[in-house]
Amino acid sequence: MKIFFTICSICLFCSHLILHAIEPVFELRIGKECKVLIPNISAVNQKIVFNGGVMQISNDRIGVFNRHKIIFSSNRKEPQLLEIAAVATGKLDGKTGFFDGNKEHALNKCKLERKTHLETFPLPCVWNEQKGFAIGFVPDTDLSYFSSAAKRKDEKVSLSLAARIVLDDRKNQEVTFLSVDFFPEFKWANAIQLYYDTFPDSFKPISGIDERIYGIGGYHGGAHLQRMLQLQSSRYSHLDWQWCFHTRDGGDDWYTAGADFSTKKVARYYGIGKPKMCSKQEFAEVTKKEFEIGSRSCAELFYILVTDVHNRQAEKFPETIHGPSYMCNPKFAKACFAPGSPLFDVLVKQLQQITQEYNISGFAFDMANSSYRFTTKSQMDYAIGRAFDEKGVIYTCDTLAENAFADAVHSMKRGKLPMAVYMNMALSDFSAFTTFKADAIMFEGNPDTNLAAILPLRLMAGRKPMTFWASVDDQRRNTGIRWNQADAKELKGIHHGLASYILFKSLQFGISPMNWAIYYDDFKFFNPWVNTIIALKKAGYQPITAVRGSGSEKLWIGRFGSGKNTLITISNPQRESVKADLEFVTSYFGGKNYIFIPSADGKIVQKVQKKRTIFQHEFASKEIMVLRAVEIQDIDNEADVTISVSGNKVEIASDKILRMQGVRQNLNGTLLFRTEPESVLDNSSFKLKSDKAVLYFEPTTSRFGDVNKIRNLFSSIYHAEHGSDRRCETIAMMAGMYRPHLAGVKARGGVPGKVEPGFIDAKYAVPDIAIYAPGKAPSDKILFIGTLDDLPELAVKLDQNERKIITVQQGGFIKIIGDNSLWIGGNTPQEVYSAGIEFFNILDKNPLPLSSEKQNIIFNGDDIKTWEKGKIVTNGKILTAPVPFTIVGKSIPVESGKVYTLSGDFRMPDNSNFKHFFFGVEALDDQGKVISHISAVPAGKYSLAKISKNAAAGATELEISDCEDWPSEVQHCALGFNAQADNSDLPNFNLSPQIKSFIREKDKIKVLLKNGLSRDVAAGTSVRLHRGGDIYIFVAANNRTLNEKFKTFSGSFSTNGKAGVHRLFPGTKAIRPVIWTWNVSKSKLEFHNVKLVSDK
Amino acid sequence: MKKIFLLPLIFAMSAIGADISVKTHRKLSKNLLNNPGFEKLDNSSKPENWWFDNCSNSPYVLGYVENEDRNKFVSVELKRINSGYWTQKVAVEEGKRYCAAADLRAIGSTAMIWLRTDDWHDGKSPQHEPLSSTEVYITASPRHGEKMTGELSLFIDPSMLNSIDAKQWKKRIHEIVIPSGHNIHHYFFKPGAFFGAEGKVMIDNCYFGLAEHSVAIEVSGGKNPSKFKVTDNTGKIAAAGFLDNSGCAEFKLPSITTNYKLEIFDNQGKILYGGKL
Repeated sequence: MKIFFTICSICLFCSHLILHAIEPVFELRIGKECKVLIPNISAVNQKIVFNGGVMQISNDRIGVFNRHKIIFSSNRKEPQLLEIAAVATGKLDGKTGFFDGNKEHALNKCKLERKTHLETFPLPCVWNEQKGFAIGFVPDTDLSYFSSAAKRKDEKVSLSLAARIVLDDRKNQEVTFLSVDFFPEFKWANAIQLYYDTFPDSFKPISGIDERIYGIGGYHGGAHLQRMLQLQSSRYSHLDWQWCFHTRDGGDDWYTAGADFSTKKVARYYGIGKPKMCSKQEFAEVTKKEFEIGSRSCAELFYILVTDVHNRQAEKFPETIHGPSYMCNPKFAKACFAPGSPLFDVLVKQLQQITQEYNISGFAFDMANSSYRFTTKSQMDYAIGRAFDEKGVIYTCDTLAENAFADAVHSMKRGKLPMAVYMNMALSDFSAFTTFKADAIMFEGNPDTNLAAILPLRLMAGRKPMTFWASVDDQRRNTGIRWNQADAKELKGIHHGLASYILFKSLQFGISPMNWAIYYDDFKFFNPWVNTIIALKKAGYQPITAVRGSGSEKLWIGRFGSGKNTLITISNPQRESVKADLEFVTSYFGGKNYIFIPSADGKIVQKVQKKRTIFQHEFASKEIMVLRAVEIQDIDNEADVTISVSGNKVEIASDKILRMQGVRQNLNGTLLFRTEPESVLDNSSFKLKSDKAVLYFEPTTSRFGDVNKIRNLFSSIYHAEHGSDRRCETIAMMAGMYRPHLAGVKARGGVPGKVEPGFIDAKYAVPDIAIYAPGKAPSDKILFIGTLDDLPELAVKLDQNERKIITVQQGGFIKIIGDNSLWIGGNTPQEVYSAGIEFFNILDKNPLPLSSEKQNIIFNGDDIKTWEKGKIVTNGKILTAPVPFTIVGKSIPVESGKVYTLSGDFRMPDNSNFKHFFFGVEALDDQGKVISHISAVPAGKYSLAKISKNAAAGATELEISDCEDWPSEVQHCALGFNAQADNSDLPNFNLSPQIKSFIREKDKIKVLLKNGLSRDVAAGTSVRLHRGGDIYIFVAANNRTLNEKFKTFSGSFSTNGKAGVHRLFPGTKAIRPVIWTWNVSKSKLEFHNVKLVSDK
Repeated sequence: MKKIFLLPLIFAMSAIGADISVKTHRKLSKNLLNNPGFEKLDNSSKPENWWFDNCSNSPYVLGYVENEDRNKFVSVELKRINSGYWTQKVAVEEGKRYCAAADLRAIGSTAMIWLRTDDWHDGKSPQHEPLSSTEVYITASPRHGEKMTGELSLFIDPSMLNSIDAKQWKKRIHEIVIPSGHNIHHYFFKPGAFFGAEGKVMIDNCYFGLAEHSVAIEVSGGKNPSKFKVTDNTGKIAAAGFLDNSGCAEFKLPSITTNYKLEIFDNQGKILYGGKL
């Protein structure tokens, strides 16, 4: 192959392109001027002076590629428009293909061209059956436009690659070409493979990033008050990372908390769609909490629209403004090209502040594909990667801004964690050079949304994690489906078909669906495949399938990883079975021979030969086969191998003794535990020599104790002790949210994990397990969470066998401790975390009682003697009371830590619309004194104030100080005297008469009372503002309606306010059930089944 | 003229049971559009009764008439990210269901039929549920062409797929109900290119008319076919009655896009035939 360069020039003021080819044989000449010929540049470094500048070419090799680095320099102020083209030519007879970086074409007589750098892998190539050649750009190229073309003339084929650049005295311009010959065993994919091998860093995330970005992505669906619920809800869809929309509303500074504002709306405060205007301090707390809680279960990626800058900020840098943003809100934001302007440093500083302030793993760059051609002054001054259009207008593609910000982010760390960049490439118009800068890639749709974009984007992303981004039933995204003509049954069929299509494409390309897709069919469809898809992502996409043979063209095949980490996916999308005779060309796999263990039950026979393995299989319609490679060392001639899989047991039989080496991890989450004959096991792999071997796999997390007993013990545990690592603490917090989350989902209605936390009542977002450091929990029923080092007193209770198992299986353990406690443990915090997740999975499989099991009935209201007050009569089954009624039961002691549930059936036999029915409890202190609302409940988070002047008994005025944050008006309030900052005085019965009004006098308040003081009050006495409320705690019915039919009312409470239950007043030691109304209509109440139960 | 009848003709079909044959013929309501096939041109070679527009007066959006095998049609060409459309205003009655349709082809750009009224807006979105009835986008993206639908047809009932193609005309149909009580008198029918990628959209054979249409059935064979019943996809009876002596009946149906089921019974009420209408 020979390579030539052509250089072309366009005068800024000319309206047409003037292009000159140096080799007339190519006949590329269009215009007349500026002709520069550079023949045979591969031999020497050259300096070429042309009209307007200098071109310095230096040649060397990188990997198997020739590298041609070209630097343009100029002293001219006036920009010069240049097109630099590399043209390779070679003899290619017969059937010839052209890969234009996007798709494959047959190259016949007509010239084929691709005139965009978008959706184009920068390595076009041509090939026939024997050979091929390619020209490309190095990955760290900055260009806003390039084109490629292939043309045949007789037996010669020419391939060209041309870049448009703009040259002036602002900066030197650099373009580095590559050229290579390749053997096209798998056509163009062999050229791409060489590129991957030469530039591996461009096809994997930067090292040290949060590895959770390999998992399932999506949204928590949380809100401020419901954050804690995320800990459990995200688990059901395996959510590993979140594309965060922080609380910015309609465009704002990237680091919003740094902006100048007094109040700001937090769109999701009380719940989804329930905003609150927050002060700057509240806003900061809300945002910080979002990432603190979110990061416990997911890698949090902070949302940035790189070209969107708030008006307030943008208008300070007019040189960057392209116009109103059309991607965000044009009222609030401008489309800006920040590089080349001081705005870039301002924004980078904000990214640094975000990194320091919030617990994030990196940034989510939305719309990192191309939406704008910037013509701003800033892009001219940036002077990197500028191009020009057919009218000579100079511009910079917005993807260059993404590149600059990605580089900036990669220089940032939070602690030791390098910040990652997850880019959304939307559905089209993505640049390879930008994709190379990302750590992970989003395709903002499902594969059917734009099928043609999947392959080029996958090729550009290489081994980086990729995700689809849509739910299964998003009807907007596919205009090729007759959505509006489908009936319910047909719609169901469409959804199932789309889910299957997503799965098949996920397996073919190693791309995971997002959590909203995983929701489909209540998780049942995708859940069995999640581990496999994540394993494919971690192994890494390979452009060459290395699988061929008859039938293979009908199958969808993917290859991932290398060597013994290789995974192969083969699925049959056809509506009929496919008989396949497959050859795995194992020379691509890592230099050894290989056999392949299927993940599903069944038997396959493989013939292992030098550099290939062959097997036959008839793939049923929609059958999926996932194969894991096992290396076979030093094989002579060939070996016949039969592999049988049954559950967690794999049998390998061969006519030769095989020296095998494989990985221990199985795709179903199990790990190789032992082999027959015995093998050498290390942390991740095994070595075995045999002609007949059996592999036994076991769950990674070990269970030391009966599963049902584990579950039942947890149902009575409300205290946890955890080790020091954050992952242990997270599992403790998750344990505390397990029951409240289920209770919240049940109250809301729906499926756990699908009900987004922001839709659940915030009262459920409170853990019901108190967490302590080791040795501090005040209970004998404890959930211990920690490593052996965290909990040495428990570690000594592990027997030798248990210690061996946990060392081998590496997924931690769950162990029953004594009669009452559990230990979620492991050798490392990560093992503890894994065991914790498995623990919750165990609970999911055997749903826990939320309140009804193991209940103790401690009040039976059907017995008329249990009621102390009220005009009640009974017929033995039904109790009756005339309206109005105040029915009060006997006093019942209550204990801290227990949950009580009050319930009963009520009706009005002669009133179809009886309003104002109440059912609850009255709280009593340890002396049996009724605790009123006003004695127990502070009016708000106001500071304690002080009496500033002595006041005598009978006085109706008081003066208080230290009351700057007190309100100016109050209703139904009183002062609590001798108030304590820690609320230890509650209930406080030492109250003033009810407050009539406040008169604020500078820093003091004159308090006018409705009645005179009952005693003297001394200056200096601390006071708290108390507010009155309901006389009873209506836990079961609060102002409800009754009719002729019996209706059940129930509600739960506890002394310490566990999630989902009412909290009794502080100091409550006993309660009395109360049935009450203030309705005075002539009627009678009937009730029965009234009872109070405790949970243990 | 051929195009005026093209739409009804595509609905003519026959179905054959075990020993019974049913022929159906749908006759659509009057097309309220003038010059729906763009055959009549004015002195400047523009289609009569239509005008071309785009949102930005951009010179990069072109609308013109093309000829292909003596058939005229209109095109919208986008040379930048933009949109453009041909427009005709039609009178409507509130509360009535209308059907909008056109034959479309597309290269690069997304084809659309945009329906809207200036008289009132219901405040809903044309793109997100719940969908608007006063601002409607019916779109067909080349991304969802033959290759994609070819793959999807392995997973989804092919009759539920409707791709768009560069060379072959594909029909898009949509129905709307004109909201009542808002003095709505007119809608604009705007076939063209949706905002987005560069390329070209070709449009022919437009239709806008009442969705209610008449259906004639002709039953032959079977033992004493006597009655018929048509139910919609919710099971609701849309039409029912007796066949005449020659096995024929004519009735009206309220929707063109709804899937109906036709059942034929003998004089004892025994079902002789059941299938999609």
